[in-house]
Amino acid sequence: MKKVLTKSSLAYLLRHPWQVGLSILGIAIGVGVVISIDIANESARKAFRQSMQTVAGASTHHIVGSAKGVPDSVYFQLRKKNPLRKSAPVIEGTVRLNNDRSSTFTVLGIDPFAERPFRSYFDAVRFTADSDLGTFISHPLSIVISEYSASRMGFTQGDTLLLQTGSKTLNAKLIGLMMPSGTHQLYTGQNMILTDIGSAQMLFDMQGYVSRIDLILNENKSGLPTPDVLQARLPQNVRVIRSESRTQTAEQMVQAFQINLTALSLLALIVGMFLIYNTMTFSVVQRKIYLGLLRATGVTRLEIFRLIIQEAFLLGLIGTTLGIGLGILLGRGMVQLISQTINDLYFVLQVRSVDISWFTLLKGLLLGTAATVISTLKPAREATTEAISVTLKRSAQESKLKNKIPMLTTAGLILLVGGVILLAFSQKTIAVSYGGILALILGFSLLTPLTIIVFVRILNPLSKRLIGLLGRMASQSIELQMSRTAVAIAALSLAVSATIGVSTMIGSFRNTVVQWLEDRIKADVYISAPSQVARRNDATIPAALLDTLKQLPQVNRLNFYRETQIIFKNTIINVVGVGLNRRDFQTFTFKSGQPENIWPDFRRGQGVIVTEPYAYKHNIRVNDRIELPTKSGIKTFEVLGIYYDYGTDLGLVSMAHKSFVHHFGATRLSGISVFVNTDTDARAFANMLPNILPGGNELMIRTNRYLREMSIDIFDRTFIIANVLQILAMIVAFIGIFSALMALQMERNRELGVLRANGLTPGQLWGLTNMQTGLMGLVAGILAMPLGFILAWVLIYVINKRSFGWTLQMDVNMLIFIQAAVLAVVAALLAGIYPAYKMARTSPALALREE
Amino acid sequence: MTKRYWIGVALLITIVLTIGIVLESLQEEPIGREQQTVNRVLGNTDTAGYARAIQPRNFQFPYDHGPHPAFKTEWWYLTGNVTDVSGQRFGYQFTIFRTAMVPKPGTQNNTWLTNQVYMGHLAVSDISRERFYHFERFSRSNNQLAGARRIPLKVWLENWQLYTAQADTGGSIPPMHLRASNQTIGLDLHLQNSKPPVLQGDRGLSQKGPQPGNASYYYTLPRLTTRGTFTIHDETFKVEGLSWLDREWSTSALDTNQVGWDWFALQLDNGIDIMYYQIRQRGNRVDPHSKGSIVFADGDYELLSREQVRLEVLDHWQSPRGGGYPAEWNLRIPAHQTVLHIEPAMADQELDVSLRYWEGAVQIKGTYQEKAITGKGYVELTGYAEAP
Repeated sequence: MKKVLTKSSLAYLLRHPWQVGLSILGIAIGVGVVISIDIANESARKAFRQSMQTVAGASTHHIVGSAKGVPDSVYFQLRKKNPLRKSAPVIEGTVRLNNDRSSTFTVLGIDPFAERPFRSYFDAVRFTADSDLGTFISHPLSIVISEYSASRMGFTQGDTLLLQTGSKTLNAKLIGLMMPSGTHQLYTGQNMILTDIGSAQMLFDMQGYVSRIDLILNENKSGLPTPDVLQARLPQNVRVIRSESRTQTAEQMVQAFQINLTALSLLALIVGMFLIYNTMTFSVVQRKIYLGLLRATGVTRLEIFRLIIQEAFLLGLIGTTLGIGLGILLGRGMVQLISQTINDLYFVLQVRSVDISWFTLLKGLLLGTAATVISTLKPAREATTEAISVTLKRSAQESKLKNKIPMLTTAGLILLVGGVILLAFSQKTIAVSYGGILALILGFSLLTPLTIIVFVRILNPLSKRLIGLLGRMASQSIELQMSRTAVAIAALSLAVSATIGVSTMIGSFRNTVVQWLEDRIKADVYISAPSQVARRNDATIPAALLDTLKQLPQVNRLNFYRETQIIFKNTIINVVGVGLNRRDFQTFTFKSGQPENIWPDFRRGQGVIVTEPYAYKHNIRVNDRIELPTKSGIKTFEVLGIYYDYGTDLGLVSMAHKSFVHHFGATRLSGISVFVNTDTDARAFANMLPNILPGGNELMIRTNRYLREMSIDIFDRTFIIANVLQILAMIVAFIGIFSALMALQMERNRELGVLRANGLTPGQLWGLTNMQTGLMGLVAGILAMPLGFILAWVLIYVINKRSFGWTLQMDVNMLIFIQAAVLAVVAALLAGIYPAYKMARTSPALALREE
Repeated sequence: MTKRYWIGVALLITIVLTIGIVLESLQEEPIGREQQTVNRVLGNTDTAGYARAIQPRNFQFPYDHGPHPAFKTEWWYLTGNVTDVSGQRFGYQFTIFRTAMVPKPGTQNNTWLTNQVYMGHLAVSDISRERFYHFERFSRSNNQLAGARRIPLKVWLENWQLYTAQADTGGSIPPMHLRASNQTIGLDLHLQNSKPPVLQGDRGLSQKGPQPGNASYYYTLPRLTTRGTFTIHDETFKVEGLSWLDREWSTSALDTNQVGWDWFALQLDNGIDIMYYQIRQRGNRVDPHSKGSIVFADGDYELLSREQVRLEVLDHWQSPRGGGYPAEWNLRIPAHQTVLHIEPAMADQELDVSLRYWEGAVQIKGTYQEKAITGKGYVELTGYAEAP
């Protein structure tokens, strides 16, 4: 018996290849998107760790300093008395190679004699015939890169490469290559330049300093000092930190970004689930007579239930397997996008490989099959719990659904309230916030049947008057066949609302940033050292440029700043010293505190101002005091004000430049902004500057307009991936509505056959079907608007705030909403074309013949 | 001289080794590593651009105690036998090697960039307990990390240091201090010279091979009265005894036919000091450039040619790390009516460093001009580590 049931089930599936194919495709895309994001995130995370590992090596601790780094005398001291022999000086910085915008490299300046305990890649260096270790340590700017990078970029040993740092361009000689040792390390060392510590000092103008000192302190081994004892031995301006804290802080930077991507990817799966639900429901309904007969001949409910779940499992498995394949393909593209964003914004990754873990695949497999089976539970139950006579009746489905509308609506409302509560109380946990969003989405979906009824009631008289009987029939049929249409409409509206929500959020974000750039970028020309990573400004220019600029007749006044990144208590803090006058201080927009009141204290160095993300992440309010490690130990600073800043989600602490120099001892500048006189053409002036300023060709000189455009450019690049995900969710929804309509129309074969027999021409039938699908799209579009608005609101005020700490001005663009509605209608119409075409061509006699 | 000489080569090799340039090939063929490495380095070693030892030089002290950076390799090589008040015997070796990696010095604009690299070996033989401690270090030359200063003399690698407290006046050698420690051992010694420098070979030009320039400048302070403390783990010993200082610098290409050497520095109780090195060629033949010297109690010395010395190996010791070393000798110098029986103070004094070799304290019994005589000394044996 079991065998017979299984056979019949397979036979059914095989006879409906379109439906089966589409639902498999839906599952596949849903799972594929989730897996691809998972792969991309995992790869990025691994790249992150490996990049950190590449540069941190086996060290357990680091000695770090403030703005200028760690004086190399600290290292000498370590080595002289009771030498701590497992210690190595390191200079880390970024350069651009041969003026190629896309080739940003991390330079690692090392002392080969101290490296042994830490990093092994020096072993894999193969020098050119006329060079060796001696060349490496004696010839300025002798460098080594990985063989992989060299062949990718077409360099050969002995080539002279241009290294562009913050303040200058220098010629370096490629004297050797790091050979890959073992397949796993093929990508390691990519984007990395190895050079001697002395060369690195020259390259980054760090004579007498190193970026950090790596240490191996085995806390259990006697003879080695504990970190605390060591700290006591060291001067006040340097600190001993644990290695992991560096990796952790770096990982924290991108965590919020990654969680948001995962959440967006789950959206595609949810839409996919709707699709499966729809397919399975339909497959049950279509076989209602057959199933009824089975029941009548004594097949038990459990057996039928099992049969349907079994079918679902099979479909789920096939779909998921395909989805995993698709996910791996998509993942490769996603890794590029995510790595690019991370490279742009945070950190130069040394690794860029696609990493596919078994865990990811297993997760995808479970997710896909589980989602399928869960979506099938309801239709399977329906097929088994009804009395046999009811199962056999088609209309029973509809009346049953209608009876359930009050219950569904109540459940929907409860979910909505639950979602709101979750959002309100989720605090800083982004995952919980997303749970809230999920509840909102499901709640809205449950409201779909009610909305359909209301909509049809309104539309009926209207469509009748406008289009006549056919119009009424079209709109009425949506309601009459709600058990099919509701799910398709819900899926479509969900996908469309996600489009609205994400687009509105990105649009609002963009507008806020544009507005902020308008406010902040007031000066005419900006001079800075070309920083290679947007959210890490470590390149500097000499302060003497200020004097040179002041002499120029075109210059009205100057602002300047210096930024430095310090790691303190396991977090990265960006400290900025700003030099400006009262008038330009107005360009700061304060969230709390008045500029007029803040200015006097700020100018005198009586406190600091912090950015909104900083305040949010550290729970800082005005008048709180914060600790910073200065060159003379840890000092506390009063927070005078909190200002809006969208430049970095890492948060900034700003103080008067004089105060900065006093506390951090770094006199070089990160950037200068120039206000020109009214009769001066800023662009011409900017073009002229490279020739006037000493070392002008190495400086990044940008007009305010260019700077704004570039900032927006980076912004847009960051959101490419969000757009991609949105499109993928739309594709799943499209497939969903397509298969739902197919199912629907095929089921109506008989009904339409009657209509044809009664004189409806094929053309009219075509029109009727299209009208129906168009109306479904319209309902979905209309339903999507409020949900889209709510999603946008939540993304802007809850998710964004909690992920990055930014306040965005919500900007509702009606065009997005209208576009979305049109999109829904077009999608529905497109999806309906084939079924309509098929319907119209069916001969009435054929349609009328019962199987 | 050949011994130190080979070590100089070893230095080069070692550094190259340590940095692992030949790591892969070594892993593939662990046997014959030394020779292979030697050849490889030799192949890459260009003597062009360095100063060479071609003619005898006019040694000037204190000038020549200091570094000669224009030569490729150089070392300050101290070995010694000491005893504490309770009669416990110790031996020690302290060596600082200097190597110029390329002929041209680094830029003046940066304190790190340099062509000079230092390697240090430090070993203590705790003879009564049969414990051997040995350590190796590297650093580039740097004002703070490692280097050699001429006047007053100071040679250092982090906290391993040899220095004179006051400037040298005239030709005499002022007292020297040796301070070297790490987490396991510590040496703090005061060294007082008691004989004038011995210029080895032809007025200090020690020929190593047939080609001109294949030679080093080599002088010895064979007898330094030594006093101070040894620290081993947390135990400190007050010690007294004798040390031996070899100084050598050169730029040489080596004959690939030479596979190793046996070097003897012997201090006899009658005030006589004998140095002899024997270079081994392939096929266990003695290289004609082997030679030595005998220094009499009053400081006068005579050179010993290869023909004047008979060296007979009486026993062997198998290293647990691979390779077998000669371990007992009879050394005869018929012209001086000398017969010495030499045996290691303890068997395992092998330095398991980048390039493995045996360097250890020995004890001597024998006759000198028919009178019974005893003594102590140091022996260095290289080229045996990987021998089958």
